[in-house]
Amino acid sequence: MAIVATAALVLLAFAFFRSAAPEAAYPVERAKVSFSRKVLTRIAGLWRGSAAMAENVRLRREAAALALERGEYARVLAENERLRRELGFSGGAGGRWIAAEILSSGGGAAAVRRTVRAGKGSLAGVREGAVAEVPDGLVGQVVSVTPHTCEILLATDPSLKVSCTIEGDPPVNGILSGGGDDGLVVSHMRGGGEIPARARVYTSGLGGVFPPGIAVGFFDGGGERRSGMVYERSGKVLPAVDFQNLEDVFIRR
Amino acid sequence: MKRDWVRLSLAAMTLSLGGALEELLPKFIGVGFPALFAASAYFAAKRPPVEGLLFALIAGAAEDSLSSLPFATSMSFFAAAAVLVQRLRLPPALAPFLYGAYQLWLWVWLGSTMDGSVFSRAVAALPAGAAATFAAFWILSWADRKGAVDEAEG
Repeated sequence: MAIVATAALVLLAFAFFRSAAPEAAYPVERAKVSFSRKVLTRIAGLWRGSAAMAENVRLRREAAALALERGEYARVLAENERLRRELGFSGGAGGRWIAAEILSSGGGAAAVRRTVRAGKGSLAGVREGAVAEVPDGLVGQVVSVTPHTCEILLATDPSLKVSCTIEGDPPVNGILSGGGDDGLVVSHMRGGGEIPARARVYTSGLGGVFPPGIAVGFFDGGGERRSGMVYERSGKVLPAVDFQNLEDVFIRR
Repeated sequence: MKRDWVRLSLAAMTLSLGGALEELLPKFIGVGFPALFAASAYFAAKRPPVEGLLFALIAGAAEDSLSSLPFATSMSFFAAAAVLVQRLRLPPALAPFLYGAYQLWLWVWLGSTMDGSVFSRAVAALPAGAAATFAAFWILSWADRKGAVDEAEG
């Protein structure tokens, strides 16, 4: 009787509070990631001590260079803000970032979407619909949030549509989505003429979901196909982000 | 009473660890190792009917949540599979085929929005299902034996 009553309660919790199952699995996933980062990396470091020293020196130099760039960036940002005020433009995307480690990828065994689970949730201020990025470019969009975790739908999933712009003279707008095998496809391309090889593709900001200017990938050729009475241009895009080796993501507040 | 708590604890740990393993283990063509489904098959085969069915419903709800599936998609299949296992007394060796059928079930409800084709998923489901079933039956049988020993000692 006790088993049936408890099981019925757990069933209710799991069925009606969708965050219950990810939260139940969270401690194990977190422990695995922590063990991997804090123990396994140190063991690996014993075997590559000299290489780690050299890497440390290089990273210190990079950090110093980035600190200089950051100072310059702050100056440009202030100037940009002043000019926006003078011209009466609305505020830019701006915003603060929440850094989150990737706990696992692909959801449960029946994963039907391309997703990753990150180790920050509503307690850290993550909201559904927030944009996830890495320095290389766009990762995806947060689709569900639990107190300690969030699920990010990757840009390589066919169901995630991103309004994008392809560099050119003039630029070409299109809709980007996942094309299978970690590739991206841009369709409904409008405007512009020839697109240079390996042109940069970035978010256009149209639609209001993704802020403009986030790198998405590089144009990898395209063509025209007939869709009803009109010819539609589409093309392939090589992702800017290595989705297989994501370790951390930055989620816009 | 103590035995009840041992069984409840084992079920709770199975859900937590099974859910985490499903997320952490690699996936092939979008198909992962079905730890929760295999555990559900084990509980259906080894526990009283009501208990087995309840575990299947809970594991299915967890699977729905972890895989971002619509409400009751996995829950209904896990429950149906548990009833099949109980009524027909299916041997564990057939569980991977049920997991293959589960891919068809997902395709029926989700269709073209699924990651990967239904055939490649069904093919990948057989070895993944076999490995998960073998591991789940071996580990849970061992845990059941240990639980019974503790009970005798207590």
